[in-house]
Amino acid sequence: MILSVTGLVKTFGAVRAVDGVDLSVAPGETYAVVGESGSGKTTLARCVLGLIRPSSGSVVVDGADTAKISSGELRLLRRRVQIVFQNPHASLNPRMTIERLVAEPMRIRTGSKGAALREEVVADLERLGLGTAHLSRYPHELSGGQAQRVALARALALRPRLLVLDEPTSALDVSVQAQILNLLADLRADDGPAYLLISHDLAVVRHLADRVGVMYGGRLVEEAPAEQLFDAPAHDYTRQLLDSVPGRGRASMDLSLGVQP
Amino acid sequence: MSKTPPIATLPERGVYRRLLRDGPAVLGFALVALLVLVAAFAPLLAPFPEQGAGAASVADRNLAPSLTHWFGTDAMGRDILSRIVYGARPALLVSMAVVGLAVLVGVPLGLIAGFRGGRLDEAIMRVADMFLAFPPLLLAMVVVSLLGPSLWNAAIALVVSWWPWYARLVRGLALSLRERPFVEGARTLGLRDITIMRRHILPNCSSPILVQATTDIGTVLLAAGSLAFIGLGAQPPTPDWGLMVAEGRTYVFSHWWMSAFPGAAIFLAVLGFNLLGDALRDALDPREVGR
Repeated sequence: MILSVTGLVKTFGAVRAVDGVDLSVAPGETYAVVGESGSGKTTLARCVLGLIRPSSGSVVVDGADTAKISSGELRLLRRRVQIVFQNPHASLNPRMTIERLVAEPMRIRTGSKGAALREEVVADLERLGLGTAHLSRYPHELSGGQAQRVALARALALRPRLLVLDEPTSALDVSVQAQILNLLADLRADDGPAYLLISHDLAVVRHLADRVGVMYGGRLVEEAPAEQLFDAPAHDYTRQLLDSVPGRGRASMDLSLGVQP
Repeated sequence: MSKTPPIATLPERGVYRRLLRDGPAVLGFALVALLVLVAAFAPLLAPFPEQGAGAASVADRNLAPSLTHWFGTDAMGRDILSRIVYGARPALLVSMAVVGLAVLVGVPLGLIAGFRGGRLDEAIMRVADMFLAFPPLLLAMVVVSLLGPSLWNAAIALVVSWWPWYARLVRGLALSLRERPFVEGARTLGLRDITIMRRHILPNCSSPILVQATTDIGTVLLAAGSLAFIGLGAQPPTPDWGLMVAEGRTYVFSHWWMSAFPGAAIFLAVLGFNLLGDALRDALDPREVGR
């Protein structure tokens, strides 16, 4: 397992944001966490990323328990898990060029400098559908889709074992959403990282996920293979969630992805 | 992106509006440029360079403004225009040094306080608050009376009362930047805090710091002049504007030019830096910060 979360609890004061979650993600798998805002999805993600420490329970990333290591080791462990945020422009330092943005993590992994580093950056950017023309641009000069590709390049430059996708497409235009989703699917096929997909967009989940966990009030109320969950939801809340899709849509859900690149 | 100049409809009006809007900026830039040039080329520009540097000329005491002495002469017979020209040097040097040092002290402390938070933040900011609790000039007067009056002690005193403003400014910026996704992203790269602060936080604070520093050069210039005026700053025969105002004070009703011209020099310098600061704020503000 790339990620094993056991009995995870995270409290903020009196609020139990995450209240006893168990889940695990296998190499190459896409695990989707769905739920409304405030259900604890993001807190779960931040625990997995090692940005905050759990109140109790354990998060084991690639065999290392984040609760049992020093903050120095935790800092290095973070490199095995990367994240792509919802808003691509907010997730890129506005003062850095695209080249510097991607080179920053790339140099951590490869130790290259100068021309060699630039080549590696360009190779990764090209894999994601960007080119040398973008190197000297600043994030605000890019479209949402391009910026999200850069964010993806930045996250993948470290070759993480697990990539957390926090609503990766919900800030993008519908036409661009499909492109990014297909890109994510391709990258995974290509010996890429496992995905922990955090989303309330069930169409996105259906498109990518192998397994789905439904979060409600800080707990995982249902967990099932994606097919099974969409066809035969077991929990009441899951049914409500599925029925809340506009157009009453378990049947119509694929339509929102109708635009293919 | 949002700030495209309105050219399309009424060209004349657009130009006029832009001129009006840019007028103060141009004036500020011109005043500051003039000050810098005067300071740099003082020996060439001053009609009586040796008097500007301090040499007395007893025969020409207390002369009213004339063609030879545009701004008149002081009680020691020194040409006031030359003194003002030479006075640009300490004025500029001290105020830039003070602001530079205040930035050097305040910015790192504010960065650490804002980014790290917790007890370190409390400790740094409470110390800063202690300094901020006193009126800056009063605090500077206390420090000078401890160190002894001189131009450079006045400068040190002003740094002591100015650094907390930068600490507070940068702390606020760092605090809001810390929560931004790109900083969280930098943390997931496993970067050290110091690297994140230097590479991701600081560059995004640079515009507000620059704006504040520019405006503060004017304010500090005035404060240094005030200290000199009450005898706690530059000492004679330094050609300091504040000192000159003080020296002319006794004769202000009979020999108005002795105080009036150095006072005007201070006024114009402060005005220049303030206008330049405002212009920079307008020019740098959109998009870069606080989005």
